[in-house]
Amino acid sequence: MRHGLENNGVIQDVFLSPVPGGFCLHANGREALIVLEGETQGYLALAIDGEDCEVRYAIAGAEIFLHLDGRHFHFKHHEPVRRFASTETGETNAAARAPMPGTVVRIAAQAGAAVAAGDAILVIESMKLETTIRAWRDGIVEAVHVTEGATFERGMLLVSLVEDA
Amino acid sequence: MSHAIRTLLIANRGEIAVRIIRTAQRLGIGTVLVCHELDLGSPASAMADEIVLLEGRTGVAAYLDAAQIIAAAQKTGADAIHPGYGFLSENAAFARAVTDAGLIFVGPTADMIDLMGDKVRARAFAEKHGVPVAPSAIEDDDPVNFVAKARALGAPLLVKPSAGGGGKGMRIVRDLAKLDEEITQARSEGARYFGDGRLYVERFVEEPRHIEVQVFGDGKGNVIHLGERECSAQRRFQKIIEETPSPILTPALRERICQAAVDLARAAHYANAGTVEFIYGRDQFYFLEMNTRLQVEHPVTEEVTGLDLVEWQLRIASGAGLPLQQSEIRTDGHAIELRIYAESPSRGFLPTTGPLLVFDPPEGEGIRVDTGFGQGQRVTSAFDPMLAKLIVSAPNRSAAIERACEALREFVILGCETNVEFLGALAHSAAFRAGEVHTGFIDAHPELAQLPVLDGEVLMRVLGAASMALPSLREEAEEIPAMHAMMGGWRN
Repeated sequence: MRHGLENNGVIQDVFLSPVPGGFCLHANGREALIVLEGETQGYLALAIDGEDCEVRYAIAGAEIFLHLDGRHFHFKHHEPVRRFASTETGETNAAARAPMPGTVVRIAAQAGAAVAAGDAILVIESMKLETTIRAWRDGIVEAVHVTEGATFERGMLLVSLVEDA
Repeated sequence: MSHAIRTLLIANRGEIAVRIIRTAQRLGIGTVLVCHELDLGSPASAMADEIVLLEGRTGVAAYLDAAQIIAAAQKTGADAIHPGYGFLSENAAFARAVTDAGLIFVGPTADMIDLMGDKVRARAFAEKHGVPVAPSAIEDDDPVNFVAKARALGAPLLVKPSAGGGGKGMRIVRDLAKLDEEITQARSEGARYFGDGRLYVERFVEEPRHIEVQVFGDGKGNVIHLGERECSAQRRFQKIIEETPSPILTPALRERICQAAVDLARAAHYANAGTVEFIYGRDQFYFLEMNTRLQVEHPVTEEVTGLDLVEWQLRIASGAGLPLQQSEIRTDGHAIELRIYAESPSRGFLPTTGPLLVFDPPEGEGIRVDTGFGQGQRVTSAFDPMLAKLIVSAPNRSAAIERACEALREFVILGCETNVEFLGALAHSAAFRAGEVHTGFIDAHPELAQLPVLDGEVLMRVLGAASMALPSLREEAEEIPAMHAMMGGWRN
């Protein structure tokens, strides 16, 4: 799933995939090989494309603060589901849209089901990765707009929630 | 006549409270800290022997409450009060009340604070004692001929409200044809900001440099100086980098400017620590004002002289006289102070707030950090947003600048935006390294305050670091079905 990292008003799409001995960072239309060489609380020793990188970091809610290469950086982390939640109905976070093209693997909560934030609603497969779309807040599943096995395009409505009456 | 101070009350907070307590403890003097509840848990409050809680509608109001502070000293048996800088440090009524209560005020006399606090009187005093002042015209002195006198000074001119401060209503006039118009506007701004439209005009020094001299007096006419500091790197009229020695002064000029400061303080029979500020430009220097307290930037003087200025203040306040004579003062090397502020340089240096999730100052040879903050504290808008002073020293200026840039790169502050990178960019700039920064430089170079564009390799490194630090991103990668990992393995 693509996460968003926002800095100075610009959101970068990022995700990690596993590769032997480390991770592959997919970001900004590029890839980089990341090897984790050590970590303690708030500290990472990485090699990024072979270059050592010592990182100090702190997380507060959706904010992440970093220090590396002698500079400070700050991002707001947009979780995939929240990020693509639609506001078109006028209700904030009323619906989740597909973050990228894919296929519906399984539907875990049907229309009318009461869900708590974090409950699984459906599982999708995109870019060969399975991702669980979870309830982003407490509510009632108003509708699941896709069926198992169906394919969808980026931006398609997947599921909408209404507030618990 | 000497009265050794046994218990010292510190009427301040933050880094300067820490600074004063440290010296008092080294000298075996007991410490009482007055403290607003917002500051409970601060490093200063943890160091003091005793704390007296100050009531106050706001934190600032509490530290300005003279009666409460003097009562705290009496209650705890403190025999002296150190006001630090800011707050009540240049309040003559406070100094008088402290003395009237039978306590020692660590600073000059109330009359001296009164004299130097009145810009027009201080300027006249300086002029009378042969200290150069900028050619000027003062409306109060001669209202009828004021504009003609101002015009006769010649351009460029600086027009200031007599009652002013903080740069409000100040105008630079380079074309004398516009003088009448500028005077009209300055008068209306002065009336609006200060309820007083009287003006003051002086010759404006182009690309001015701020040079100040640290002096100490015993109150009996004995005065020595501890050299100069240059504080020309300023934003919004506030110093952000200070250093000693000044890169612009020749030995002959240094001697003249330091002697002028000593002459002024000696004429005043000045007691305790003071700083005489000058504007310097085109081989001329003019008296600006005298600050009757310890300055924020005193540590650079300490680093090159090896002296403890707070110790000197306490010894003089207790009547022990000047610890050394002028001929015994030696300076060695170069020192630079960089003020770390919670602020956003790219957004006009607006103050920022936030939790200090990580606060990890650099350490090492030639590195000193004076701070009143600790990790886990929150930066709020209740007080001044200065987080720390980084003071570096080295055998020469270029080595000190190198050390400053390196130490700034190692200063980790997470959770609140600061000016650390901006200070690094400024210290590293060609103008600063060449010793050419004047007081208008930062305002004239807004590009220094812009954040470098995040792209290319740097962007990938930062996004990689953030992705690895965020648990959900890494967990998702680790949860990816084994097949993908196996496929990767098969290819090997």
